[in-house]
Amino acid sequence: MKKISILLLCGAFLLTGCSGHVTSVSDGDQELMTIGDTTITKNDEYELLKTYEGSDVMMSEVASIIYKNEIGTTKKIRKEAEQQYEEFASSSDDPEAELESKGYSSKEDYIENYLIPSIQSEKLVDKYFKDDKKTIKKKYKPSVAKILECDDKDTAEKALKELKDGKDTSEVFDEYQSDDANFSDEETLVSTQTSSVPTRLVNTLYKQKKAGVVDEVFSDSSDSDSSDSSDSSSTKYYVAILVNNDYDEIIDQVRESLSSDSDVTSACMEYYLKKYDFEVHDQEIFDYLKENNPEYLVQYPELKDSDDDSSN
Amino acid sequence: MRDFLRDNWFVVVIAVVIIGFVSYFIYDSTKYNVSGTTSDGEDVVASTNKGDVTADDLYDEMSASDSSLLYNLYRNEVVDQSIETTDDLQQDADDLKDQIDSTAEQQVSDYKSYLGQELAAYGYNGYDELDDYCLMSVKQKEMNRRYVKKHYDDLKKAVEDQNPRTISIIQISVSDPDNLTSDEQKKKDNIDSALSKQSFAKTATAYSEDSTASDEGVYGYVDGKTTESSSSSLDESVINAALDLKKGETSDWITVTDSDSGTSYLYKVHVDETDLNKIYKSKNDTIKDQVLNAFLTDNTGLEYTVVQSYAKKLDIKLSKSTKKKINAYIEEQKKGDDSSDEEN
Repeated sequence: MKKISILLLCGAFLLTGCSGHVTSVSDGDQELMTIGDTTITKNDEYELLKTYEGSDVMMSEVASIIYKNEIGTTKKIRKEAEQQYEEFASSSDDPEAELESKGYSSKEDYIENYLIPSIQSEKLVDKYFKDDKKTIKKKYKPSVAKILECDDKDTAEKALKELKDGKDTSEVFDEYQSDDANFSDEETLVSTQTSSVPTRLVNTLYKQKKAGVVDEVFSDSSDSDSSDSSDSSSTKYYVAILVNNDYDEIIDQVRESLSSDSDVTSACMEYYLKKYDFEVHDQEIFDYLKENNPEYLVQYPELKDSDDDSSN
Repeated sequence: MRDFLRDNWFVVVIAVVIIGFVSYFIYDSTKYNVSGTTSDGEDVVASTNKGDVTADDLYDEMSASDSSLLYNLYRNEVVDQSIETTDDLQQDADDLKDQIDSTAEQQVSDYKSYLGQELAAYGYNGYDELDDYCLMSVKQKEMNRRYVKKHYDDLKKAVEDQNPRTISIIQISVSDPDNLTSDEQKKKDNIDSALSKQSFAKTATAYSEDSTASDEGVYGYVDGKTTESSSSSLDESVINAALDLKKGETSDWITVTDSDSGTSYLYKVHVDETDLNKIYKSKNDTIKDQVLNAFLTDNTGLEYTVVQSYAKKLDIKLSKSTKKKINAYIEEQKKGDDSSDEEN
């Protein structure tokens, strides 16, 4: 009898252990409608709304908590939102009808619930570049440089020699730059996102201690196996002049170049979710995020990693 | 104890293995189970160290624009309780489910999860209730059909105003409509010749390359609003040509080039019938459905009127706020703002 009890207890434990907590509203039994013998309660509606848009709305509520604490709603932000509304209203034939079609009841509703959060979201990404600079530096290896792109190695070596000898940069660019070069003699932000230059050039610029000409010619083929570089006519050669790689001094350029990158905006949200110890307490929403946005479930980093692996 | 272990060592090993296996199973199946927590007596959906999002917060935010969901919940019950489920309706519902499953499966990888989320907006709790949604859909069609039959004389004018007709088509594909190959020219000439000797239906069956050839070229019902419909598969120029013809007339050749594929087609269109009474009584199931849709489209808000009409026969209690939201939603839909009608 005792053995059977233990087995039953184990079975019950197994069964109850398989489901997590599902939330409900506090007055969930409140009747919304009764048609014939069918009653629909507030909790019934909550379940449906949660399935349809619960995770999105919850994430936007969590974002509001982060915006409030990290950015706030300053007079400047409010003024910017007012200006954006005026621009929208002046370009619309019937702003009120357009707002209604977007689901906003009034100008104030639109400003409070769309424009201000949008501005706060942009400002949060800006702030992220300061708050998580260690991660950004490690991942993107940013530097500001001038890149001279040449069609062949000899030309690149001549250009490098002249730059090292102190010849005027613009003259060297005029003389040696390839006709179809992706760069000019303007300063440009180089990072791991700059696909048009060799990875080794990005790394070298990032690590170089002093500004000035990098004493090396780089080529596309240096990034790959020699067997891949059989088509020498298409190989490009690069000479670089480091302008600055001090993150704090080039942060505005880094932000301008990377803030629209979806990886950055996603990493930004992840960073602040971690900072605010974000946790989900509803199994259905958790399962939805696990499937669609595992990066938000910051207390389980392995979920994001397994998602990254499966998408590679 | 030592003697017991010596005598039963194999049983002990097996027991340890089983306990290890069960423990791992429990750990693995529960490691992503979330724990519940409350704040001021309310269930918390998400927590942060600077504040929580409660279920009540979430509900307040989501229910601010829930009038279409409330209407759908109301409509689902009215339809379900007003129309009895027959074998034919059940069969139609099963066919509709197969069709939805098959289309969704081709378009979305995790289609059950996708459909489950979409169904929630229609008042159904997940993919498991797709059967219920399909049954409601076919029952609602039956409900609309009965209402239109009963109020036909009052409703027909709006449809007649839209120039209703049933049409048939002949279609051939050509590589360059301005420079037909000899084979293409021959086919075109053969069709012209056949049309001068025999009916459009026989010619379409013999020569048309469109799938309607198997049904004597019958395309179905069109009217002045067909070109506005996203479900129309026929080019606007062919429909407009059909709307300019009288009963029994056939158009000249119409050239249509698909902007996506670049493929060109030549069309002939023929008007089979323009009398709405006769079209309405058609025995062709496709045409019957198309005419019913025309009644619903041309009489703005009719679908909502039908639901309200059947609702009057049921015992219905709505909370004050629910009633206000549903009534406002129905009024809005009856104004004919198609853009806010999620079901179109």
